[in-house]
Amino acid sequence: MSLKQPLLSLTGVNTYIGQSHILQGVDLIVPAGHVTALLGRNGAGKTTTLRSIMGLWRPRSGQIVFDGARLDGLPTHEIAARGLGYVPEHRAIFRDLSVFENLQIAERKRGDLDRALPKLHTLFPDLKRFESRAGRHLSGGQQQMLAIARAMVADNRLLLIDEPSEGLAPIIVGAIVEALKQLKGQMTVLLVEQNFRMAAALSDFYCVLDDGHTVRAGEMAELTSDAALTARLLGAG
Amino acid sequence: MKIIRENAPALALIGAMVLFPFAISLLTGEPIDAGTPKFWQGMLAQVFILAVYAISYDLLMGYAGILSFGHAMFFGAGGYVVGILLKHAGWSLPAATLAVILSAAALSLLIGVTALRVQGVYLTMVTLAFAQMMFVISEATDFREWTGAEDGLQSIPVPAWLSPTHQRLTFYFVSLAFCILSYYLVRRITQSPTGRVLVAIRENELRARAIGYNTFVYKLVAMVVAGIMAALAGMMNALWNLNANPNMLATSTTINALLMTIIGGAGTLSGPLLGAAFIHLLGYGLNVAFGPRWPLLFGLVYVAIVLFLPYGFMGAWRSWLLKRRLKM
Amino acid sequence: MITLGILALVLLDLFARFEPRVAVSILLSGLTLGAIYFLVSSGLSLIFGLMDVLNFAHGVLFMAGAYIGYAFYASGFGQSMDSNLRFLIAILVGGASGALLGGIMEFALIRPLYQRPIYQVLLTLGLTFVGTEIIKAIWGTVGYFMETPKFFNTNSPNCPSPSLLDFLADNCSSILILGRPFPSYRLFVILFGVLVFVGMITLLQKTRIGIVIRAGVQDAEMVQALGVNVRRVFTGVFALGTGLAGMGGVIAAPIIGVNLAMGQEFLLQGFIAVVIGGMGSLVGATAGALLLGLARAIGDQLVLSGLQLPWMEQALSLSPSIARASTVLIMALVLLVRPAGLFGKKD
Repeated sequence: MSLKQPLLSLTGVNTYIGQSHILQGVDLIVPAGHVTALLGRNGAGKTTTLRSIMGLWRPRSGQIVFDGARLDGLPTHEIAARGLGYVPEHRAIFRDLSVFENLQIAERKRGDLDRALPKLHTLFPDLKRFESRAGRHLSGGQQQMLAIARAMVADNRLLLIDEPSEGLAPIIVGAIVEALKQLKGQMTVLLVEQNFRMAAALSDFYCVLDDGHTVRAGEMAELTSDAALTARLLGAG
Repeated sequence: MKIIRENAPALALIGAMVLFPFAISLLTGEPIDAGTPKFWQGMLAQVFILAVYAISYDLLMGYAGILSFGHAMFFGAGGYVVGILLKHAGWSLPAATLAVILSAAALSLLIGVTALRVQGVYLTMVTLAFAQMMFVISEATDFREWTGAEDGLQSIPVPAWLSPTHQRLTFYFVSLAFCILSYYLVRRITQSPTGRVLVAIRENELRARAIGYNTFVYKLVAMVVAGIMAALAGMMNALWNLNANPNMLATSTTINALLMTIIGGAGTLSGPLLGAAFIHLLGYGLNVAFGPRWPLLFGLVYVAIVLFLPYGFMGAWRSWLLKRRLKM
Repeated sequence: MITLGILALVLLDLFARFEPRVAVSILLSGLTLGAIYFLVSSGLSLIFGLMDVLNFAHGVLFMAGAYIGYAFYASGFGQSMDSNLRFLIAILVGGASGALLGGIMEFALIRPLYQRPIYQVLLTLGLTFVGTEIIKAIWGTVGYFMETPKFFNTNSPNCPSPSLLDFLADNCSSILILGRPFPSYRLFVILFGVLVFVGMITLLQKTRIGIVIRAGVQDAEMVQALGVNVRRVFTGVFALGTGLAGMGGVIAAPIIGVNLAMGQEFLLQGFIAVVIGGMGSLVGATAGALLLGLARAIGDQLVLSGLQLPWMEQALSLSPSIARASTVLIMALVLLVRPAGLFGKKD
């Protein structure tokens, strides 16, 4: 496994939600400049991994290192300020804010938005068209695009994207895949995705979780060329 | 034999309480119906009454998870109903007691049907609002001839056999019996299937509903039972004081219930019992020591307990037991 | 829509029942009360919307603002100052003390309890008790009367001022409106309420902090994940809300006096306004406060003139307490029809 310099690495991360032990020692490496897919069955701990990275659940033990510095134990807003953009499950855009305000709130420094806006509008032209529309009046696909764009307003070096295709029509998923493809090479991405074909098309590396453990990690090519291995790791699919 | 062994601590406590007046009399050498023995009978009688009030609150808050800030309205209603009926309508005590039960049931049904439509803090606000309404009405000058307005309803004619001044020992035993019966009744409820449904509602109402329980009805039952018990406690309190006053309906009376429940440990039945004893005796002690400033200290104690001892004495005791057992 | 409908009905009934000049003066009284309720309910609603804390100590901070503002206004310390200036500063002092006490409270006592929401409510209720006792210890149990400043309280042969413009010249304590005198200070209270409302709307709609607050009402966690220190915003909004309440206490003092009952009373009315309007919405809190103010003004008038329903031979005369108690029934009614309130976003 040829790994470049990792931008983010998790070592032996254990996270509890209430009494339940959800992450039971997750190891994960996200190489800089690449897309890494976090795969696994429902309930394997993928979303919890992202939330643990963001500090939304506090890991009880283990290390999370981003760009050489520990993240675990920091409050969420400081983690984000280190340069992590988070696109949560179900998108979580602000329904009462306009599209523009949804982007504005993600500014961390004055001028962030002015700088990012042209690029975001090229990636997602709809956002320009519906700039003053309230978030709740957007379609699911537009909300997803807004959520991704929101994570790119500030000068982030890593995007954590949770299930971008969830609940969207295939044609819209296609548009989002296209947009994310344009990001490849420019940004480091950790992608949680149930839809294996989408994950395979976008990612350079993968990591499979099961029952809160890391089962296997490697280059995506290894999975795409070995259907039997994929089936064994991810079940039918 | 088994029943006796299982309930040994409770039976011992009851025995101790029955013997208490005689023991004090023996110890001090004073007659049982005067001086120190009489004083302590009064103190404990008040503890018994407050304990019932606290237990009724615990049924709502500790078991069903209903955080009502209007519990004082039942306590006060009990006091006013018995006072008005004895003083102005000339009813007998048994008839007035029945009226207290019926009116408390009606009131709690009315409040419950309205307040239980909303959840969480909304319910808290709504119950507080209703209680404030009752408080304002009790002070309203419109009904002065019935309620005595802000002075309260004075000199309620308590039947001679129960007079707290002349028949203190009788009053003591009646309060004790009232407390034991109420405790037993609530224990029966909490250990019954209904009690388990209430706890399920507290833990996760959606799930309880998904299983097929009509959670509204269960919560309503809890409110009615708690309402009746609180009203009876309020009635006993009015008989003890020979008056009913707006203060019985005030928010501080609800805070008192909260305090006794939390300090002892919500969701346990012995907790509120303990809490009532602690609060009443502490209140007396602070009053002796600090005079009119004692409510301030009282409030500070309450805040400290909310911050540092969230599960009360019983909770702290249980976790201590648990830790000790784990070590062994 | 519903609110407008109710409002229209209330107004229609008002004008049908009374002659226009009486109706207008009731309307203005209602707006005065509504403005004070608004200063309480807006903070309650914002605090609840953003951090899910139901602040039972809001009333006691309203009262603390009134006492501290009054103490400044009446003390020898400011006595050499012009009464208008003194009053203005008293408002600021009341607001500042509300904000400071609220901010400290959130930071030191409520913040450790965000994991245990019920205990926050229990705590704020306890603080109400403690706060009232502290005020009692400092200022005693008797109430105080707070005079309006000279600007609203000057005697001249022209009084009452025939019009608003004349008022600016002669500063009478009342102004003739449709030929009926109305206290000029109450008009100021209405104006003050409007200004605060406009200020709040501007803050919420036009500033970055406003965007953060509106977003936080929906999903504070996501705001945090974007790099905003939400906890600091929480403390700020808490202080803002309690500051408004403290200011409200000073503003209300010349009308209702300064006394130990005012905290409970206005907390209750604030709750009712918020329940009617719906939690977490500024517009809702405002609408609720106005409706409640109008209802109270009409209720007080009815109680004063005696209530005569068509089937009654003699008018029923009642004490003002009854009007006070009846607002609870309005709340119950709204809850039965719309449990989330008129503008409610959260259940």
